[in-house]
Amino acid sequence: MSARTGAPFRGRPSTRRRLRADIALGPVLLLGLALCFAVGPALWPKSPYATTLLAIYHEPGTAFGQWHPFGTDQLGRDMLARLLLGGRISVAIVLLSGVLAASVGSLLGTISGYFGGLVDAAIMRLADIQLAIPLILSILLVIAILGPGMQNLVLVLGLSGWATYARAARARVLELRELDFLQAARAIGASPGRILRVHLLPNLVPTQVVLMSLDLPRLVVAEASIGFLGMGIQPPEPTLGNLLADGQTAILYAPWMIVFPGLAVCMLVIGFNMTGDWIARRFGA
Amino acid sequence: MSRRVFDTRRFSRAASLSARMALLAAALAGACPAVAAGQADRTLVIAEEAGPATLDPCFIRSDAALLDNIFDTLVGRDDTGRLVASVALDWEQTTPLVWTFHLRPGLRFQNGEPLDAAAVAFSLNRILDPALGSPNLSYIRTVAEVSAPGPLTVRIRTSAPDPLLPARMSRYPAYIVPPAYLRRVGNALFGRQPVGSGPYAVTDYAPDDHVDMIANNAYWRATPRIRRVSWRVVPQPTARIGALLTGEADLIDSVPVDAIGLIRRQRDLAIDGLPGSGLTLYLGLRTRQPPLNDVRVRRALSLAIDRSSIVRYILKGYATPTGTQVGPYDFGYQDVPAPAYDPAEARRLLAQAGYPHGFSIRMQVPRRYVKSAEIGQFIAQEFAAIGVAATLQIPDWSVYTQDVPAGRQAPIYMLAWGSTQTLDADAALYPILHSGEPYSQVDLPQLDTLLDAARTTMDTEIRRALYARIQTMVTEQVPLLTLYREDQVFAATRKLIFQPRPDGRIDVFDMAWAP
Repeated sequence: MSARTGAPFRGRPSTRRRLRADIALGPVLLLGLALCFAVGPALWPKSPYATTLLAIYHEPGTAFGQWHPFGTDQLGRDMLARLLLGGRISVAIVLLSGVLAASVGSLLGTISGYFGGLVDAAIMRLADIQLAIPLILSILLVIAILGPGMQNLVLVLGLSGWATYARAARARVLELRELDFLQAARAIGASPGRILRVHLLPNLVPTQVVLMSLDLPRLVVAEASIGFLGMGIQPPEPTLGNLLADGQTAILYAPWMIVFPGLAVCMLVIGFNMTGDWIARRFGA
Repeated sequence: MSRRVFDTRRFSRAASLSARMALLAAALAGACPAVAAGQADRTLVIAEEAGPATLDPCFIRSDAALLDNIFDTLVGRDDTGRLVASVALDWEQTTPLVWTFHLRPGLRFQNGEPLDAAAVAFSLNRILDPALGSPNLSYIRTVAEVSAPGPLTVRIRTSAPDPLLPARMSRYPAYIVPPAYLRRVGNALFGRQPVGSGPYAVTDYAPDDHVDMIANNAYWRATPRIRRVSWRVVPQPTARIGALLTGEADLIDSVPVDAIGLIRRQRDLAIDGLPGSGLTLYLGLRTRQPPLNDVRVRRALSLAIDRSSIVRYILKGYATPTGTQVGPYDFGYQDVPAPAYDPAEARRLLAQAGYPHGFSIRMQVPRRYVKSAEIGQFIAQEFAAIGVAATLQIPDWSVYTQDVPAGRQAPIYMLAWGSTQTLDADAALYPILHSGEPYSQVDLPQLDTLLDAARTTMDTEIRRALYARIQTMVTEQVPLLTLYREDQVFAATRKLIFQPRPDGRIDVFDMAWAP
């Protein structure tokens, strides 16, 4: 990645061809998954909650006149329906917490970089502390205190990831602060609030978006881990992590229960990673 | 997956066969005793779901099955559940409050220390000492004083007549420990390097990992047939089954019901289940607050649960739907059939109680018992069918075990209760139904009176009649929703002779390698 970003695109034909060659495999994969998770639950007629005790652990195929392409789970529920809804819930959590982390991190990083001094030191030491605490441990601690639930999960995932964004934002602001347009803004008496709002934050968007696309896979895995440990969204609600946890106990006699959610997590992570690379290349950030 | 595991096992069997052939050749060459020693020397590996945090009987919170192999008790219990002589040869109730036990002469602990009446008194008084804060004090709370009037005579005074005293002296925490050794090493070290008088001595112990034991050749009953035992902690059911399939473990407990078919297909493995010997699962109800203070609501919830389908399909038949918390091996057991499944009647009762459109309520179901999270989801759906919207929460076990006795649990909460310490209805009922007990959310004065009476009545027939009345009253008042009784399911290699027991003991002394 770094080798390619090191060579900025100048519009030479050979480079353009290379650009077209690696065209957007990541975004395509991601869009496909997003589409599945967005409209899938509405299109696939089976309920992700309806139990059929006679069809417990049925392998992919037809059971009692019902077609289950991904098999059924430990309560005879349709795995495809659960995977589609579980994917939707997981992606929603990941995106919401990603945006939260990026917003909080960018704001704190900008303040830190612009004002410098004591404020800077305080915020950056906070970031160091945040980065020093193991992620899963801190998440489990907070969930144990606040209780599980979508809101708390988003809050905890979002607030545990702000430090990386803050550091990147601070570095960029330190660079911007010395540029002429900013000096000019300050010279005509713009308030710090206005400078932050109008001149600094908009200039951070490209770097932060790339950073976020690279950070999202971490959140996918974190959500799956929390669900796997049983501290996430409570059953019967499916999430990718919950499905993996259910599948893990049945791996010896119902392997399809872990294979499909496992593939979904893989594709999601690969999709986000490739998209991050792609954006970085495409926009030279 | 299973195929491959099976093949590996075959391969290892072939390897061990060739090893045995080599041994045989050596034996033919004139080293005959080596063969016998080779078989007897094989280490028995037991993979358990949970391991002990300490080996000190005073402080254990679980896993008495392991300690049964290290320590002796005054009274024993045979495999039919009858109380028999053990360290005590016989005992009698001298007055309603005083019991006298006569000890077997000449017994010694594994370190050579004599096991006499003073050791017995020391062991019991240690648990009763409030300064030590033993979590197991409640099991022998009826004991007021233990003394040793002679070297082989122990006198136990109870605070009220206690028909269960001999039973209480047959199991945890009434194990006998060596006073001199314990005073020398202190409580902390004793928990790691315990010495008992039982059939096996501990050689190595790593908490939450393994306990290794070696046979006590001087054991008073006989020399144990299996020489070495290793208890390993393998919490994941899948990993436990894997260990059995690959031959790493010889005996595993808590076999997940879905894996039973897989194990049955292996020719060299056997499933050892004992119907109705496990814990009895129930949904506790916080009956002091609405809507669960109305007996019609409680009865409606009970009628909404299809117990036989849960047992048949989710538990694959390895449980018994039941209407009583008392187990079939307990004294005082009444065969109360499981409540009927009748959602229409349930809706009618709810409407009568003033909830024609049902209500919303929280429900906690820990992932601790066999398939409990699945069963919780299924029951939540059945409640929804009669209009009761139950929000399910799967609590973390370590938090839940503190919340329930402190009264911080949800209005509906799943728990399992057993009576393996005494095999008596008292242990199955009193702690979860008598008002004021930490695990009880019930306030029925009439029920309290009956439970107290049964606890202090010495006459067997009157006690039996009292427990019959108690169980009838529980059926009418539905202070909790009894669901089903689990089977204990073990799986073992066919090379091991092993028989599960109603009290959940895993006595290696009774096991042997098949010839």
